[in-house]
Amino acid sequence: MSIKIIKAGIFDSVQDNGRLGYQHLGINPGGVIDSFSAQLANAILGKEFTGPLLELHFPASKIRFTNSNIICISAADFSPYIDGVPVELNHPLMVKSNSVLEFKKRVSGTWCYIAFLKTLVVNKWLGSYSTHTKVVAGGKEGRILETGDVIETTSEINTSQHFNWKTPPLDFSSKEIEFITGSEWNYLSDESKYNFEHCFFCITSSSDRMGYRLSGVTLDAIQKQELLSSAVSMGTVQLLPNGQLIVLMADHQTTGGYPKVAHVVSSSLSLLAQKSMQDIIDFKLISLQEAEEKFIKRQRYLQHIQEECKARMKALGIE
Amino acid sequence: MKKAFPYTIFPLGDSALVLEFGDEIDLELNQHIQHIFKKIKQANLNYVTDAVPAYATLAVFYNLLEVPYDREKSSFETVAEKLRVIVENSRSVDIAKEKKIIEIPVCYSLKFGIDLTELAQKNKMDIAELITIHFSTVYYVFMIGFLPGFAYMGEVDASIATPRRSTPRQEVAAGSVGIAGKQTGIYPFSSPGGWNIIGRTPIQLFKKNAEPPMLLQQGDKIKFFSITEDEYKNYKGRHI
Repeated sequence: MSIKIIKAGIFDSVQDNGRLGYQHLGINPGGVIDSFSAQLANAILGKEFTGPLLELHFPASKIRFTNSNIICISAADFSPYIDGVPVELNHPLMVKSNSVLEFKKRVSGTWCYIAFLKTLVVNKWLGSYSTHTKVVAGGKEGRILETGDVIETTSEINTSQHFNWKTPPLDFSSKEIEFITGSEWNYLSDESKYNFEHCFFCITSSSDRMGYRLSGVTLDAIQKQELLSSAVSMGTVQLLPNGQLIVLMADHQTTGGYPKVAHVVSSSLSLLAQKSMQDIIDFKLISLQEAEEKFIKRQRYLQHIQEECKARMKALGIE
Repeated sequence: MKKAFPYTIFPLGDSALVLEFGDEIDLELNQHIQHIFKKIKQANLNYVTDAVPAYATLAVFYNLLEVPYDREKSSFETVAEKLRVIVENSRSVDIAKEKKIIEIPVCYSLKFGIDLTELAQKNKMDIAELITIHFSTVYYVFMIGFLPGFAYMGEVDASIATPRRSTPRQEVAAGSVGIAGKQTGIYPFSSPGGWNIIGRTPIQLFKKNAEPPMLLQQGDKIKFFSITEDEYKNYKGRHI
């Protein structure tokens, strides 16, 4: 029972929600770069949020299903086709044995997820299936997917049942990225603070799973002192010595020494992750309490979808 | 009387906070942070997902869905209050047991120590002197960060302390030993990096299947010793 990568994409990997509890050893959590969308893909299949899935970038892998399975494709729209027929996102899909999934063109978003009802059998390292390319551990042999890779699945499933549910497509068009201030916000001059909030910033081509580098108006720090290294987080916005910004993403280092001027809030990380080169973003300040509430609300929504879909799968006799 | 370490707490995004005890490299302060780190681990709070001690700070990451709900305050405040109690109850630092010194072989040849010549010139001494000063000090591991298993050690003797290179290298080889300001460290993996490289260790610092996966831990004491290129070759693949 397996799937086969018949043509590898450029940066596709096995991920899950990340490797928690090891940052004091310098081991970053990693995991999916768009946690909300990845959890949604699992939720639509009524599965736990913690299972391994594939994270795809465009151009994405072409995949043969050696055995039948039920999958859900979520997040970025790369025009998925199964055996030449276009298929929907955010909807359970019955995939017959020997069928081929391919992605024809990027319509929206940057990262796409595939969740599998019959789970991928991949390497777990320190409690997580996430691919850690530096340590070469987790996922598929600790590396990005290559042509010819075969990934086992736990079993196969075949059904003629119709899945009469889907969630609305995710909209990644908004420019608005919400943030709260960071511990070195006051390092910025008043003019730079104003510019941070009121100017557009552009995602540059040197952005990857480690961080999204922005270009825009040069910001100046009134305090130039070097900082002692301390912990950073996904979403931390650092001011680089050249006055430009970087937002740390899933594969960020555990610690850093650049001023932390802001933090993108958790509920905006999905939207930011799905931005691509040359996309424009507009930072909007919110309060910490609002940030907490928005995140909790989104997670409750996911839990609701998961419970509902689990019940529906069960009603169809699928588990 | 134990020294009191005043601190402040501030958010690190919406799902983490930082206890900041100061802004300098100080052994006693760092040991206090380690002590609190252990107390937080022992408290086993179900909402704490990660705790990251550094030189003068301790970051605590939490799962917002697990933090006990209180309509009167933010989750940040709820977690901060809980941690304040832990810090208050952690006043008495048990004198750290005298740790064994971990000895690490380093080949300080010009082949591996690609910045030796420049560093010796900058610090107005000859290379042999610089190397001797580097391996004569017992270093303390202040924190782990940057890369898996990368130990920030200090403090380097003032006579050889040298700022980071202005332009970082695209790739520094695994095992490289470097100096950045008063810090010294070893790259467990090849990586881009800006430290001044003075040698290389044949020791594998990070083994993914070992428990724990890394040789050096915060609070460890380490001492380097000099080996030749031949000895380096024979060490290859061996661990401490």
